[in-house]
Amino acid sequence: MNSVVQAFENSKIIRAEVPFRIGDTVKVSLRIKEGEKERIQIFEGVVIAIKGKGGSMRFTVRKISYGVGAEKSFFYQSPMIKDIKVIRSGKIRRAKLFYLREKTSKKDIRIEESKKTGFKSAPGAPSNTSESSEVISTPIPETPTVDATSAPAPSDPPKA
Amino acid sequence: MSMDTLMLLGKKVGQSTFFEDSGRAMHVTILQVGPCVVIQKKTNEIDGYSALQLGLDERKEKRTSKPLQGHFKKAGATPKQFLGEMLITNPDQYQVGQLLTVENFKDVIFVDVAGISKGKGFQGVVRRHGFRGGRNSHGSMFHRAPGGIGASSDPSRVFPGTRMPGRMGNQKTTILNCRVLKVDIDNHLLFVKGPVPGANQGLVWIRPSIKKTPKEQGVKNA
Repeated sequence: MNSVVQAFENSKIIRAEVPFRIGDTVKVSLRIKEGEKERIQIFEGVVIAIKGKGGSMRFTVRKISYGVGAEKSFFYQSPMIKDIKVIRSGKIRRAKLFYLREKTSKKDIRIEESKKTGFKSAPGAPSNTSESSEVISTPIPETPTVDATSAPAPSDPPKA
Repeated sequence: MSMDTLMLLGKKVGQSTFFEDSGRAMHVTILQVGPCVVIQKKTNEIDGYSALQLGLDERKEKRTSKPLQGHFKKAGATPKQFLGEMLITNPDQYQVGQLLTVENFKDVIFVDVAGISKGKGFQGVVRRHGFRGGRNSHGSMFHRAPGGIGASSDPSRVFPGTRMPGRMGNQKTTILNCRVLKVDIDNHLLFVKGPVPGANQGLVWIRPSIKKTPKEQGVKNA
């Protein structure tokens, strides 16, 4: 890459460490501006893909929201992201977890918890051991998942 | 706008993603603009038109022809790689040897960027002119051919300008109204929204948008 472009890419880096890996369940706090006010929306799910590196690194988070699969891609260095917390780390054998899109049952989308973390935890990340092995806590009816990749997640109330 | 639109030479550096203040991500093309040296003033009396000749980027003296060496020497400048002209009614407001930098764009909101588009080679009418072509199956024997190019014995010729296959790309293309996202005066960089014609390291021509009103360009009391 051209050194000028590289320097610009590096100038975007506001978060040096990447606290999560693929398969981890993360809680992404997004700044949403509504007129003058700013509120925080939380998107919690499994990291199914990480693309690129440095200033242009992107990652995709997938969750099941009221029985409907929803994915959201983020720029890791985006100023819209307030913080990212790792809820639990997953034991996976793929670099991209796109197979989760085909799975509908609760059992199939479960990812075994990894004991080996091997990465630096984000400061203040809760070591939530009481969390069940489900990916998310919303009940999943037996309906086929519909991907809402580009659309923003259906307005879920921020989970505490 | 008048003919006196500033136009500088630059080079396309590359593309990246830019985060706006609001946090929105958008495509950005990084351009190196100038510093351009005024090499020659062209005047109505001598040249039949008035313009400024600008030079960009260094060139080795031994790779410069003798006549060009003399041309640069006359301007008191080192040999330049690229030369370009900026049409201007009164060249005397500039001096030969003067440097024109990206600083001239620091209050500009929209720019027009021209570049030499990437050559696509010899292309058919479907790619080159957007002809629809025929269907591929169901016994169709007409796929990507141009079809008819005119009538028969009257006029007994093909009209000039009929769209046909041929060389595509590698021609000067101008993108109007590119929004300026950032100006880096120290490094002579201009960050514009969206793509720009040509390859990286390719020569580009940059001017404030001629189709925007002064008000749209952010000029107060216009």
